[in-house]
Amino acid sequence: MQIPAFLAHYFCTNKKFLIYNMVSRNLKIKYRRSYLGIFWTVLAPISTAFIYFLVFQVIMKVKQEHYLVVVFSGILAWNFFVQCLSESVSLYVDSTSLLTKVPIPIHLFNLVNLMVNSVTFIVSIFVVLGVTLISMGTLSKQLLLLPYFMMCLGLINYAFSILFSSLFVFFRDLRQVIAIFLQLMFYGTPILYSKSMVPDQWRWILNLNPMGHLIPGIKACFTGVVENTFAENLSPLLWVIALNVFAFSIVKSARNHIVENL
Amino acid sequence: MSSQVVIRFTDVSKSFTFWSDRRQSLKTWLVDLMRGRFRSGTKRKIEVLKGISFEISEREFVAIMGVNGTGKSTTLKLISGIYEPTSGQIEINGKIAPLIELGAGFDAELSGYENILLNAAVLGFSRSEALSCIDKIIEFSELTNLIDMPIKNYSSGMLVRLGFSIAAHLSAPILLIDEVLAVGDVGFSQKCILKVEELYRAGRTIVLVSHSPESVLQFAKRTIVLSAGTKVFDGPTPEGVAIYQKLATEPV
Repeated sequence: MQIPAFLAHYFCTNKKFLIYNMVSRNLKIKYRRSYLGIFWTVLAPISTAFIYFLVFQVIMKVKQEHYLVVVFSGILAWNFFVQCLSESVSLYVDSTSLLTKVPIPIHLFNLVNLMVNSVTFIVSIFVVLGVTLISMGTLSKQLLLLPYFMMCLGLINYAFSILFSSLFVFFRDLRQVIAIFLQLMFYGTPILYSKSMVPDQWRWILNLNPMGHLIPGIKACFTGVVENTFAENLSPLLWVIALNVFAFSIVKSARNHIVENL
Repeated sequence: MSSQVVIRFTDVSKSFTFWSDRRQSLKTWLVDLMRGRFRSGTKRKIEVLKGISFEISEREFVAIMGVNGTGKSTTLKLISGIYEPTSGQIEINGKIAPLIELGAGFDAELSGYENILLNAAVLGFSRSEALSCIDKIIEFSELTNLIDMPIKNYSSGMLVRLGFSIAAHLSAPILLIDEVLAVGDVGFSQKCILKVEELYRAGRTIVLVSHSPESVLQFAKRTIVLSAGTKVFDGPTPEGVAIYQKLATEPV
């Protein structure tokens, strides 16, 4: 089966060797000369998750089932999203010398960044699996949905990443704005709390938040406590399509504008 | 038709929009928006190329000359596809190796060997294409015993040598060279010029941007002279060089 040309372009399928090289370069630079290597990057979100667990469960005694697993899965997934986006903001600006000298697609840098961060994410998924097994002794059948949710998360990330690195070319103070945006999104997403705690009059926020049903979906994969309806499980896919259509139109129409403004 | 046209420019224009005093932050943009100002700064349109047409055929060695700021590098960037023309048509047949900047995308932390693969990928070559000529690249660069060392330890001359070797050994039929032949020490510079000549004899199409008449005169049969974004001459090199020298010495 032949993939459509626009998809091939969007995912740079004819640049495999370049992607491979850039991903391996980034991984090498990130993890060379450190004993713990990749575990350093997983360690930070793990400690964050552990602190949240201590604060909310041990000190504040939040009533929620399997809270350790909830916090670990939620925080690690969220951390992947944030890490990827904060690294992607300056991607184009930092690659000025390449973009103005060699004809390579701009979104290739976003793809490489996404892949590098996915490696950390996949490692952290195993950590969450370990935590789940230790604290609950069993894994849920819901886990079969995890690849679907991870794919949605990755693609939403890709679209946001293209959007932010493009905007940064024109607005150099975007980083601060994104920090606020992500902070709001963090508390507007059921990461530390469960969906059932959200008062009815605020429920609509979850529908407007790309992560609103996605993070609860990921948490359910580990805890087995399903809070999403079938339609809500499908909603991340709609976000994926909508956001990526938008990102694709940026790549398609504004590429030259971006390169000439670097 | 004796030989195929590989690069064809039909009435190509390229202009850039520059902003003086343009807002660069979201904050000022919002403030301006609240005050009802939708545009900031003054827009200046600069026409770098004004309706240029030419054809370059297979196995040709063409030099592009012109004083600074006449659009030579822009022409090369249009050929390689980094820029798109504002108007007009560009037709390219065949793969291009742009030597616009040697060692584009080199990474200081990686070894010379790893950088060869990275740079080849950046220039658009596949793994097998890169591996098939990697030994020749290393040999030509004269860096055999340093090739496993991170290139942050290389001297700038070594980097240029590595960059040139990579671009010269990858087998793209069209080679774009932007004033990079005067690199390294005299010995290596000579070696580069010989290599370019060898590539030309091997049937490559070469487009060279140059300021130095000697290197142009040496091989290029044909010279295109640009002046202020227009083509003022397209023909045999000796005449082109004479016109260029007249332009360059003319008071502005």
